[in-house]
Amino acid sequence: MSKYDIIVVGAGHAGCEAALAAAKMGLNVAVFVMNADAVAAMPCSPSVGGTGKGQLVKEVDALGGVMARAADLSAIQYRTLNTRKGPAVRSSRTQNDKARHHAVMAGFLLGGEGVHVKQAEVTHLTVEGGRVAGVVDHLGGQHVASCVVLATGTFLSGVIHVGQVSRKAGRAGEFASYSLAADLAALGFRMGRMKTGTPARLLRRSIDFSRFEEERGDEDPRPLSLASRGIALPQVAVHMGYTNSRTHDIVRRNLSRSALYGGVVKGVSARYCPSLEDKVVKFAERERHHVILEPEGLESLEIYASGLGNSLPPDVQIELVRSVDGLEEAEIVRPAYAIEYDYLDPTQLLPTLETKAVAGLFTAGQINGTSGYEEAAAQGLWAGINAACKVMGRPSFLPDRSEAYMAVMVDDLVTRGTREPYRMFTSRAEYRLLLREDNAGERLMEYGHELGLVSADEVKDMRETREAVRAETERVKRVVVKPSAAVNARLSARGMEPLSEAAPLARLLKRPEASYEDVAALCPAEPPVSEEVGRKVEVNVKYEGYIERQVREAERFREMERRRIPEGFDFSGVPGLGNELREKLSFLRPRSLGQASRMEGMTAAGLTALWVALRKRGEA
Amino acid sequence: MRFSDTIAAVATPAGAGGIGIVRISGPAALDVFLPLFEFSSPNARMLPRRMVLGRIRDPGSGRALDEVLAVFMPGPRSYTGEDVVEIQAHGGLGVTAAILEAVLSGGARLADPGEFTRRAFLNGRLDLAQAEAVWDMVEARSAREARLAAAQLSGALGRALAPIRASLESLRARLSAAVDFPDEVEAIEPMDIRQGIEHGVLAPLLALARRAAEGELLRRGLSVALLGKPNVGKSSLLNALLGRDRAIVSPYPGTTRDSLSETLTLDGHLVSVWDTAGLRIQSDPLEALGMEKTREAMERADVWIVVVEAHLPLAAEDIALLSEARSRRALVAANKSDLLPVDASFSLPAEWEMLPLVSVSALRGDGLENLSRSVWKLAGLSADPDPEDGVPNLRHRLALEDAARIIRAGLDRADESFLPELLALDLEEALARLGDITGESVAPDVLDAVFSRFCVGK
Repeated sequence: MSKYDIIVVGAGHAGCEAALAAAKMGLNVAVFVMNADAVAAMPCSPSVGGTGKGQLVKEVDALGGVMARAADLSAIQYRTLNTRKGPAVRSSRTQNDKARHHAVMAGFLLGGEGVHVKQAEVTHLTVEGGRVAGVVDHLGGQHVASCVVLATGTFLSGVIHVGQVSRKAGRAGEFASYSLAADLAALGFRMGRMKTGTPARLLRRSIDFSRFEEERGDEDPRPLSLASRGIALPQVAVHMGYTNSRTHDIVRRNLSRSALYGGVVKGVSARYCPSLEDKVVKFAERERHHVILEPEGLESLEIYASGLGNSLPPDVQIELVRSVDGLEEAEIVRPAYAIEYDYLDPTQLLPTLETKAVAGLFTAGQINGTSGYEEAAAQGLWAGINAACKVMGRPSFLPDRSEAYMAVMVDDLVTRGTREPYRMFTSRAEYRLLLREDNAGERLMEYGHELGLVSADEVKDMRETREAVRAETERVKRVVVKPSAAVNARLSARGMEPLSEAAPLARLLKRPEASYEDVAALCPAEPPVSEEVGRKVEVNVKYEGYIERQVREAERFREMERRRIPEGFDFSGVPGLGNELREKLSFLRPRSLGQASRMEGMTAAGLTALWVALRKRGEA
Repeated sequence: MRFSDTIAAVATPAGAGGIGIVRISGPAALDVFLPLFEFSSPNARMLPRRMVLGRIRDPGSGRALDEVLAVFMPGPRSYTGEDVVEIQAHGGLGVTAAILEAVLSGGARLADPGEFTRRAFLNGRLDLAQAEAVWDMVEARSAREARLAAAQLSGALGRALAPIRASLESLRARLSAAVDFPDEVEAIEPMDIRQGIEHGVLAPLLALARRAAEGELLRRGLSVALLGKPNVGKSSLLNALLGRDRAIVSPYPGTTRDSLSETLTLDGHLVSVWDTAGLRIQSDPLEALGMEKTREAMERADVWIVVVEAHLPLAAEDIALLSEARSRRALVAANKSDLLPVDASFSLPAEWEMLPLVSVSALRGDGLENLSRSVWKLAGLSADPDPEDGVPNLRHRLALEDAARIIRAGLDRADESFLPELLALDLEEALARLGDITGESVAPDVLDAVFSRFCVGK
């Protein structure tokens, strides 16, 4: 029998972060993986980041996580989204070489001090007196640990559908895990069923790329991780094309043969990631939809056909693929499929991602009803840190919604649950101007340092940058330029309107077309600030007023978060709550009035009643 | 909220005729009521929401206080959400007071003002706007106001707000979609968004806020100053108005502070009329004091009625008043039209033609209807506003104006540089302010709006 502090089940994007964080905090961690060749696999799109997701990646990085570093080592295209919008909503996205990404992460994991990777299927949880005590593997091996993190992805009772054919699988070509799912149900967890899917992989040489529009990445790519120095791999393009009315006719004609529309799939699918069937049925008026051809890797001969996801039988799949301009001769290497899997209703979790029913048992990633590598990584890190804190007897790591996207996600999940695979979006974050990619370090590195995940040097760099930004922001607000001929000549040389009266640099910087560089050139800082500092100063000035407003709102928000509901508080004794609310509260056990206010079905009257009851007890 | 005690109060306004209702609410409502009640029919019982006839007897003397109808409404399906018994007596302050006393001696506590409503609110039976409407109703001082409050209670304001909120949400969804799905949603046209906001949101929002201002005028009452030289017939005009509409709400004696003020309802509007001392050009010190009061009343008034004599040429005092009236909301009442020759009519010299002119005869009661209609028009009140419009109250007006101000500032900011993420925040904040009106703090999920509208995802 082997003994660990923490056992992590699964070595996907969540499992890797959980294990590495806990090990870095000094604990002895075992990672169980069904197939060690699939560590940090990318079973869907070959990319990391995106709107909202890029912010998660940078937050993971600021807390000492590995996703950004691995993505930098596997990136074959960098693209900043929303460049024409303001800096708060700019998000990074990379195309990645899947094989490389796996190799890098497997290297981190296997090379991680205190991490023990074991290829085995965990079939049972050992639970003693309401506490998890370890796991049992498929060969009967018993493993003991204080905490267990489940990061099982799509493997719990996974079923793959292609047309009317269904097979048990955790991913195409991999076994599913059935006994662990049964164990969780037997422990009394409320489980649900979700559906996701992935498009076909096409043979690269069968595609006529000349019929597609080439899309290159950023001209001046910047790495995702603060720790990465430079771009590791050659950069490539993706190719954009469109479906057409023939494609849609083929789908429409064969809807009854689709797993999704033919009544086979029962799981809930995500509205933001519609299958081709969904697009054709729900948006029938659209004449075409995007098809983006993304390389699976530098050396890979397969192409990911983004936008063509479906659950139709192979003969229909090839017909519809070949209806697309430039894909007339295309060959499918791996067909598109839909996959259904079990998830655990995340309202059964505490904000630490520990289950309420079984102490020491944590869950992260798709098992919690989410979707996406980045969402998984952020939860893995969150659960790994909190499991480690629990083992070490330290206070939990619980930043709030005004501090991080990952906190928004976790709070959404544990407070409101999710009815479809949960993906991060900027619109989910109330304080999104404060939660930017560019300030992830300022927001979270101090926490990372306290936890032992970020080095003192890294924090020192961050503090220096923060101070430089503060000083330079002050300066551009203070320094006034006069409308001299020389100044106006400089402005027009940069394509900007001339000055008509003396103005602080900051006012010039507020002009939409102005960058920090443009404006600082009129009266440079002594010594000049780094490009990074310049960008941050620009954010401060361009968003002036709005940022302050969000800071004030966040203050008010925190006030409600600070009104704590004591652990073990008896909600059934609160007068004035309807039975339904009382039951919901007793089940959810919110830890603050703020969290209670975000529960589904909470009313102003109910909140008042709760508040009054806490007041009476001298709380809140 | 489970309050442990049971409360009771007279639920109908003091002094009002007809019936008087004593309401008992709380866990012991029935226990308090039953010992006092004698069923008319020996087999009768208290059944939920059924009226029963009987007598209330004084528990001390056993004397019958009144023959009453009583109804039992078990919680939570009652007004307060608790067990409620209502006793409908024949009215008269004395009788209802005696019944209330009997109820209190049976173990109920006298309710604080508004406590029934507060309990209803805390029990989730009313939302904030409804609760406020009830509190306003408790204080309703005229038939008009009661109607407005009733309309609001049924959610009229919520209905008026609904299309505005829908426009706001849809615009916010477009902005959010542009940010979250930059590759998949077509770029937004700033002009489109701006026009959508101007027409779909700002204009109706401001219209609603204007109605709110009107609503406040109704709540507080319109104050009208009757002005004119002595003996021009101001007092008789006031009496004529009072005579036409006998609903005097509260006659205040002429105090030294007010000249002479009467509060009355005209067409259901609450109106205070100041019958001012005459304004003279030359006056002795004693009269100067009275004129100071008149001045005060003039300043405070929402509307001036300048009374002149129809059958006489304008006097110097008239001319002085009319000159002042040009910069006010004022109309001219040409009184004593009965003294005009049959074919003659009174007209104002060209320089005061902008003042609305109404010909009246206080003596014969001619033109009074015209007069009141002109007053409503001047005050910006419709003669008979539709109570279904859901005129908002002061708190609502502030929220509406706040929302409009936030959106306006956002648009101005967007003129400098159009950043959808900032405008989306402004719209979100405006939505939150509108949510305050009905007490719904949780904005509907913007993602629902996005997904129903756009085909996003790859």
